[in-house]
Amino acid sequence: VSRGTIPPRLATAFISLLSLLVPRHHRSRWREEWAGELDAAAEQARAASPLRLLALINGVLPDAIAMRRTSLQSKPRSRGSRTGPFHALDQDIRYAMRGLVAAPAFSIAICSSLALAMAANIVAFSVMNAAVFRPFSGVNGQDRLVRLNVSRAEGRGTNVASTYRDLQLLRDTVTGLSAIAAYHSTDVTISVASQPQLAESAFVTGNYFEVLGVAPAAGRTLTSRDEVDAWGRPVAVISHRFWRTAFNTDPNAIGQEILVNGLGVRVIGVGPEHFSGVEKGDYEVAVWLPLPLGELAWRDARRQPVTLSTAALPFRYVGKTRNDVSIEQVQAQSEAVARVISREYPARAGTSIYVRRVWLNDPADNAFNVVRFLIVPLFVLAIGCVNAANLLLARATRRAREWAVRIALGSSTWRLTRQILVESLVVGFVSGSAALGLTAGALRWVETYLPIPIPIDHRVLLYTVVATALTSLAFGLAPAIRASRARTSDGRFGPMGAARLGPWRFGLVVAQVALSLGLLATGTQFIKTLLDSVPSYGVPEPERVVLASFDLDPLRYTPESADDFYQRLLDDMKRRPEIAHAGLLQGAPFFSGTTSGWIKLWLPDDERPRSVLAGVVVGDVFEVMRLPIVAGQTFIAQDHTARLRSIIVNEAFVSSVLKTAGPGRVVRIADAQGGLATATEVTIQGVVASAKNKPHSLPTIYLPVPLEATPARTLMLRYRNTPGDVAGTLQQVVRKLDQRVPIKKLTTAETEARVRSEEGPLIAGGVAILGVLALLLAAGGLYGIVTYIVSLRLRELGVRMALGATRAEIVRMVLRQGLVPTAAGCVIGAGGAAAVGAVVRSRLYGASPVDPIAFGLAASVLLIAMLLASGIPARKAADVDPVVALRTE
Amino acid sequence: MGDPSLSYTGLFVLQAIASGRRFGLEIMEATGLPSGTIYPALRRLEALELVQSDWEADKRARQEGRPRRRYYELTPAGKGRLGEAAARFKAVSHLFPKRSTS
Repeated sequence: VSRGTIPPRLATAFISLLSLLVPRHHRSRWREEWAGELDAAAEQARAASPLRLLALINGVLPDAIAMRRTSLQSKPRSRGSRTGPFHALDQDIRYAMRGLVAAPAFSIAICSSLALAMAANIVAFSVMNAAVFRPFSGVNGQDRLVRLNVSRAEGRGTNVASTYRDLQLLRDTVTGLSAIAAYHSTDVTISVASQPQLAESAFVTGNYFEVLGVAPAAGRTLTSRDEVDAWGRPVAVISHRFWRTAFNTDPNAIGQEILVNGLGVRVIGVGPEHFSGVEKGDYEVAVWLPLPLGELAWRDARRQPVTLSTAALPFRYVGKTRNDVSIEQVQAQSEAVARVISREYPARAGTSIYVRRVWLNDPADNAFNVVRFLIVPLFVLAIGCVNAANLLLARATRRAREWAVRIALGSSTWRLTRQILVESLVVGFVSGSAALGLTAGALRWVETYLPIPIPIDHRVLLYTVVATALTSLAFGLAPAIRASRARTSDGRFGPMGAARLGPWRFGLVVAQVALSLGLLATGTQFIKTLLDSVPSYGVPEPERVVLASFDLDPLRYTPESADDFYQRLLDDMKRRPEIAHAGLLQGAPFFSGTTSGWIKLWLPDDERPRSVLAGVVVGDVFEVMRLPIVAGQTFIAQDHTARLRSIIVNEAFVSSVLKTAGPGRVVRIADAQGGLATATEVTIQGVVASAKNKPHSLPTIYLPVPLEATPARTLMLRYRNTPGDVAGTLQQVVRKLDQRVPIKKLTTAETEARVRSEEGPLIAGGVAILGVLALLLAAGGLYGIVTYIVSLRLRELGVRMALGATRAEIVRMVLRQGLVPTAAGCVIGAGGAAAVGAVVRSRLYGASPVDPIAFGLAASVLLIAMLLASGIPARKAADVDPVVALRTE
Repeated sequence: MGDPSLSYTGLFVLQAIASGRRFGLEIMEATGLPSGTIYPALRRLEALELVQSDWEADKRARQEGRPRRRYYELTPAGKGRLGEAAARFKAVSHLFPKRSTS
């Protein structure tokens, strides 16, 4: 009989908590009765639905209250000491709740603004939490996992190549680790039911899943036997996502055969949901294969196949520490391995091995990033606090008389202060709960942009509680201090004396305006950046431009057969009537997804190489992009078959590299590894217009034949009209040429432009939303204050109108009261706000410094909002009937 | 204690107990009223001395390894009140099927 299941345990905790409401002499019996009820319900819940349990729990609170009421009626109230600092705290809480319910408009205003600001914070923290603090999904015992990075400084960079022998050395020498697994990920072609597709795969040692403590979602994981017998009985574990996309979550996927780079491999299991290893950026891994099968895909620098024993590849290692072994010990043992490697292989002298914990992002390294990421939401929360403080202060003014009475009756200052603090805590916790709800919704949206799950876990909850408590203290402090200074004389002259903004509130409004201005300016800037980057991609009719990229490397094409395949593909597509232009691009800079290639270039009389972007164009690439040849001439058919003699450059190259007219000039080029001695001399035969946006607007050269052939190209097509089923026709054509070839990526220039502009929509959108939020908070706050002051000045306004003041004069007077601190905030806060904006922008996202237009726009939006916020109550004030106003007191 | 008139809820609860339901959850299920109504009603009826409660025998609960249950039953006054009500509302006594009290 399982009586200790989670829901009843939670329910028991809930009952214990609420039993504090029940008078002490009934408490233990009350608890026991409920325990009995729960037990009875739990017994039935096994047969019926757990909803019944919930229905029962609903009664706990009403019952606790009923218990309290009946026992209070029957017995004289016995209270604790009347002098303790916390006696009758429950009274304060109830009083605070009643106060909130009695003034719904006030409560909604204050709670909703705080909830929004807090939600912004919790969302930001949740994202940080998911990216920094949470363990990798599906991995167990992560605190004992360490990463071993084998690397060697080489020139200015780092060479991370490692060999299978390193793994054996590590396993023999590093005794502080109970097990070490190695892995390496690369692209492979996977065919499921003869549908080829390009996918990321990880080649792993047999103990990989065991070291990471991964339990499969279905089937089993790899074992060391699978590694030993990798070629005899090839098997694979597929990712949960791949299971979903390629197999439709079919349980029968286990046991099926898939083709990996042409080799039949049996699927033996499915990884747990969201599991993708312990490497940031490996989110797309679709299949895990035993390490020896890597020979299917591995290539050396010259693109020649390598074997496991000879491969020098960026293998990565992860190990599990023994119970009593520290990271320092593992590090020391690893350094011994590094020394052996350096000694035995002269080419690898200076190898070092770093041991670090397995984190998505190491918290120690990322503390600064966490703070940076949270700065903006914290600003908004600060504004929210100021806003709430303002509203509470306004109410405090109205309550000055109440306090005066209480003090006159002998209430202590502490009692009043405590009352205010309890009230702000109640407000804070109501808002915090609402904020959690908002967060849950917002995270669903955020999750669509990020590859990692973002749950609300115990860290997020703790953050919420701490943030709520601190927030409550922050905004409750000013009113509490004011309350502690309340004197019996405060109420004597009626509220007329308090109808001006005191220095407190004046300061708060100024602070609020200044903070809002900074955020708003930043938000405006981001929206501007977003708008700038969206549509003007520079390609006319981008919806007609289709880009299809291929990579024949996994299929072991020779360079000649690859050229032949692409030429036939191009010819086939050109023959289709719906296509206006077609071209092939290799290593090209136009779109993401095509491998951009940098090459070295020497100008005449200059031994210093420059790096420029280079692309190999065959066919009508420029026509597809609608880039006209502005000088010289384009390539002709012979250029593509002959030796490399001439190139085309873009206008940006002419203006920023050559500085003089292009055609006819001679330069030398070599691939990234090459030197001047082996460089090829080429003549610039034409200049093509630059595309409008980065990186296509960068200095670029176009070659008719490659410096070094690669089997990855992009087919670029311009259709006569917006195309229909591109994928279908293209697949047909490709399949006729070679059934095994998958389309790596298929997209249109339009989608591509949109994807590009999505680089920062999450953050930019987030900041923009926060900016608008800040504006609303500031405007709402001012509205509340001005409305409030108007209500305090009713009598005075009545007197003025009775004495002959006109409507216009009244409106002007009230407006002034709201707008003077706004203007002061704009002026006083401008410097600070500019600094805030500058810090946020430069530190966070590397955008441009303060933009005066964005700033001016933000300031005017703010002023208009503030004008509205104080204008509405001002008009209301002018509608006051003097007779009514005078009678109110 | 005065003699405030019995609410329908109170009446239902009394009738449920009279028909053999002995603790909160059973009463809740028989009447179909939410738990937030049943338990406060029980408190009130107990304060009015129309029902009284007793704890289940310790031994039995311990044998089954679970907390004791609190059983409610009608006091003579409670029976009287229910009788009065049943005379007025004929349907009351047919509300819930009779049940053995074992």
